[in-house]
Amino acid sequence: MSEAILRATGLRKEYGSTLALRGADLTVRTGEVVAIMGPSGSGKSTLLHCLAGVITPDQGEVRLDGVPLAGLNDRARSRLRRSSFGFVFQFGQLVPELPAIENIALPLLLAGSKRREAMSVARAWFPRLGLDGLEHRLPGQMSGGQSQRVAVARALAAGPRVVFADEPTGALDSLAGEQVMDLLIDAARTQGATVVLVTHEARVAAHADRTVIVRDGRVTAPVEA
Amino acid sequence: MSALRLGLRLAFAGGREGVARLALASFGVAIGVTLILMTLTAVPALEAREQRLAWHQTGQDSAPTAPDLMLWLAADDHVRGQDLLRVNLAPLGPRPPAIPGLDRLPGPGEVAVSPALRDLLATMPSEELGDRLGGRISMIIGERGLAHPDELVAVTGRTPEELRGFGGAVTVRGVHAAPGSFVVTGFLKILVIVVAIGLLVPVLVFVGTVTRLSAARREQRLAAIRLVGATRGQITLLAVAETAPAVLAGIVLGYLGYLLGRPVAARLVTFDGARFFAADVAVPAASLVLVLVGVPLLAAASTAASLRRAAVSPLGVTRRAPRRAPTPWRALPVAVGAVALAAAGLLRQSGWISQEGVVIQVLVGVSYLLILVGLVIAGPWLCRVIAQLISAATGHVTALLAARRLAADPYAAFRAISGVVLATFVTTMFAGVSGSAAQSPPQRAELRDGVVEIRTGGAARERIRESAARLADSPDARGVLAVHRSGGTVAIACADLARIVTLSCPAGVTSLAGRPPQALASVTKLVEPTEQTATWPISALYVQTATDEAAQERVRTQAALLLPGSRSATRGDLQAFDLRQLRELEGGLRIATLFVLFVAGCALTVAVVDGLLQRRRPFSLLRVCGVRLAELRAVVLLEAAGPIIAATAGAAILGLCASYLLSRIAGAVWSAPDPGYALALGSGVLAALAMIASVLPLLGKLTEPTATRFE
Ligand SMILES: Nc1ncnc2c1ncn2[C@@H]1O[C@H](COP(=O)(O)OP(=O)(O)OP(=O)(O)O)[C@@H](O)[C@H]1O
Ligand SMILES: [Mg+2]
Repeated sequence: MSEAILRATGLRKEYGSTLALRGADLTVRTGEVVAIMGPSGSGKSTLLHCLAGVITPDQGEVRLDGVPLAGLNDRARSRLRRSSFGFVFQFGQLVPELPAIENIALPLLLAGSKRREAMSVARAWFPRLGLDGLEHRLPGQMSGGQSQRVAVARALAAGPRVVFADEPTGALDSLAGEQVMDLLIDAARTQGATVVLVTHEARVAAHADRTVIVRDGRVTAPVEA
Repeated sequence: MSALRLGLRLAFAGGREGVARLALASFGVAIGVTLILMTLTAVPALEAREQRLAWHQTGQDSAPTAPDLMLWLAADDHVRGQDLLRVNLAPLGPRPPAIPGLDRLPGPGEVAVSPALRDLLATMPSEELGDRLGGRISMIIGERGLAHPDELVAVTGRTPEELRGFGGAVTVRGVHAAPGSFVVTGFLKILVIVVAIGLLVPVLVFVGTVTRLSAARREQRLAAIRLVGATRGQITLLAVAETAPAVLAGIVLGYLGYLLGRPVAARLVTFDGARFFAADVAVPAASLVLVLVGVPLLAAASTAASLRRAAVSPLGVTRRAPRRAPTPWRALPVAVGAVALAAAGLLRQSGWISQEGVVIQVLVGVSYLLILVGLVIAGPWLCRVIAQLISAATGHVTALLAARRLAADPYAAFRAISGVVLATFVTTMFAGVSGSAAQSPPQRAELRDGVVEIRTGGAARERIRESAARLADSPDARGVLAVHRSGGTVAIACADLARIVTLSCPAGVTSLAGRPPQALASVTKLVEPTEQTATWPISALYVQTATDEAAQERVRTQAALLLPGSRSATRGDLQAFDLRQLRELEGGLRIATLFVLFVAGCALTVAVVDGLLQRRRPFSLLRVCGVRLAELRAVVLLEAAGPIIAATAGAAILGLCASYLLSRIAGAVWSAPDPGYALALGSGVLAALAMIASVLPLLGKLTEPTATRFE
C-alpha cells in the first residue's frame, strides 16, 4: 500500500450563488490511476482544479505530500505545475501559434532547459505518438485525436508526478479516444506518474485502478478497486 | 532567458495572419511615433526662427561683437502685404561687426538681398520696389541670416556721411545675438493648450489600440502557457517580448517617417506668413531620446497592464471572468468637466476672473482634459446603452447578433471608435472656436484704403518738409498731410483725421480704439493744430493716392528713397497682417483636424481588421451553421456603425457647447461652425464607415469554412 500523494479534505467552493463543491474529500495514492465520474455540473472539474492548485477552495484544504497547497504562493504553484503536474483537457490547451514539437517542449523550455535538449526530448515522443513526420504541424493543421496525443505528450514531457486529465477523450470518437487513453495510461505507468482522470464514459474509466463518483459537490461513492 | 526567446518566437509564429498583425502593429506604432515627433518640432522651430531673427533687433544697446563701430539704420517696410526689412549701414573702421549669412558687409552703393527678395525684384518694376534699396545688388544673404525661406531683407551699404544725413541712424558696437523669447498670450494661449492636448490624446489612444491588438486572443494563449507552469513574471516578459519586434520596427519606421516628414512639414506649414527651414524643424536631442525610449516603455507597460486579468488564472483558457458591465457612473467625469467649463464661462461672464488669469487657464485646461478623458471613460457605457437600444428596436437576427456582441464586450467595442469620438469632439470645438475668431468685432479706426502712412523715423525736420513737398509733386499723390506729435499728444484737424482713418469727425475723441495707424497708436490726446503745434516734430506723413497697389508701392518707394529710415504702411499691409493670422489659425486648425481624423481613421481600421482576425473562428462557425455572408457583413457593419453614429453625434453636441463656452471665456462672439465643418464631419463619418466597408471582403476570405478546424 503506497503513500497518499494528494489528500483533499472538506473542499467547498462557491461560484456566486452556485455551490460547486460542498465538502468533498478525496485521497489519491502515489502511482494510481483514479477516475472521477458523475453527472454534468456535479463539480468534477472544480474538484480537479482544486486538487491541482489552479483554483483555491473556499474551505477545506489540499495537501501534496502532506504540504498544504494553500500555503504556497503563486510562484511556487507555477513551479509545481511546471515540474510536478501535467494537464490534458478536452481541447484548446495547445498554443495554436506553436508547432507540435514546440508545444511538447514548452514545459521544459519554461523550466529553463536548453532549447536543443528540450527539442530532442520532444522529438523522441513522436514515434510513440504515432505522429512521425508531423513535428512541425500547427495544432490547427492536425486532427482532434492527433492534437490530444500531442497534449498528452506535453503533459508527460517534463516527467510530472501527477497528470490531471479532464475529459481528454470527450471530443473524440471511440477509436481515437482509445488511442489517446492507451497512450496516457501507458506513459504514466512507465514513468510512475499518478493520474487523476475526469470522464463520463465508463469505457474510459475502465482504464483506471479506481473510480470515484461526484454528486452534488460531494465525493459520494468511493469504490475501491 | 527562455521566456524572452519564447516571446520572440511567438511574435513571428502564426503564419500569414501573424505577419499581418505584426505589420499592422509596427505601422501603427510608426505613425504614432512620427506624429508625436512632428508635434514636438513646433516649439523648437519657432525658437530657431527667433534665434535667426536676433540680428534684426540690432540697436544701440546690442553687446559688442567686433572691435570697430558701425552706423545702423533699420526700417520695417512692406511690399504687397509682405514684411520687408531694409537695413542701411556704414562701417566706422576696418573691422566692423559681421552680419550672419554675409561673408562681408556690402560697401557703399552695394546691396545684399535675401533670395526671396531677389525673386520678387525680378517681377516688379523698379519704381515700385527696386529703387527703395538705394544701390546695386551684388550679394545674396545666406540661410544663416534669414528667419525663414520667404523672408524679404535688404542690407544696403552707405558712406557714414550719407547715412548720418538720413537721420535716425544709431552707432552700434555689435550685432544683436540674444533671441527674443517666443511668447504666447491670451486667446492664443488657450488655443495652444487645446490644440496640444487635442493632438496628443488621439495619438496616445492610437498607440494604445495598436499595442493591445488581439489582446483577447493573446490572453488566451498566455493563459494556456501559464497552465503549463509559467509564472506571472515569465508571462509578462513573454508578452512584452512578443510585442517588442513590432514596437521596435515601428520606432525605426516612425523615426524614418519623421526624417522624411521634416522637409515636407517645413514646406507646407506656415507660421506668421512664412514657411520654415527644414533644418529648424527638428526635435531637440533630449526629447528625441525621450520619445524613442519612452514609446517602447509605454508599450511594454500597456502590455503588462493589459495582462493582469489573464495572468490571474491558468484557467483563462476555458473560463474568463467577464468584466463587470459598465455603469452610468462612467458618465460622471464628462459631466463634471462640462459643468466646470460652464462654471468658468459664468465666472468670466460675471467678470470675477480675467481672461489672462491663471485661474481661468487652469480651469479651462482641467475641464477640457476631464471632458476628453471622460469621453473615453463614458464610451463603454454608451456602447452598452446603444446595444440595448438596438436589441429593443428590432428582432432581426443580424441586429440581435450585433447587439449581443456589443453588450458582451462594450469595452472592446468602444476602444475601436474612441479615436473617432475624440476627433469629432476636438474638430467640432476647433470649428466653433475658429468660426468665432472670424466673427470677432470689426476694428473701428483703420487706415483708409489708398492712404500710405510714412513714419518719419528720426529724420531731420527740414528733410521731412522737403520730402513732403517732393511727394506732393509726384503724379501718384493726391494730397500729403504732415502730423505733428509731442509725447502722447497728436495735433490733427478733425476733417483731416476723417480723411485718413475710417472715422467720421470724432468729436471729443481723445484716443483711437481698434487698430489705428501705427503713428496714431498709443495716442493719449488729439488736439486741433495751432501755431504752437506746428513747431512739434513731424511724426508721420499721410499720402493720399489711388487705391491700386502699384500706385501705393510707387509712393512708398519714393518715400524710402527720400527718407531711407522711414517706415510705411497701407491698409492692405495691416489687413494682410490680421488676415494672415486668422488664415494661419484656420489653416493650422484644419491641419490639426485632418491630422486627428487621419489618426482616428487609422485606429478604426486597425481595430476593425483586428476584430475580424480575432473573431475568425466564431464567424466561420456561424457560416457553417448557415448564416449567410451578407448577414455577417451586416453584423460587422451594424456593430461599428451604431456606436460611431451615436457617439459622433454626442461628441459633436458636446464640442459645440465647449466651443461656445471657450469663445465666451476668450471674449469672442460665438458663431456656429460654417457648413464646411458639417460637410467635413459628415464625410468623416462616411469615410470611417467606408473604411470598415473596405475591409469587409476580408470577412469572406477569413471565414471560408474550409479555412478553420473546429476540434
Ligand atoms: N467559473 C464559474 N463560474 C460560475 N459557475 C461555475 C464556474 N465553474 C463552474 N461553475 C458551476 O459549478 C458547478 C460545477 O461545475 P463543474 O465544471 O465542476 O462541473 P462538471 O462536473 O465538471 O460538469 P461537466 O461534466 O459538464 O464538465 C456547475 O453548476 C457550474 O455551473
Ligand atoms: Mg467538467
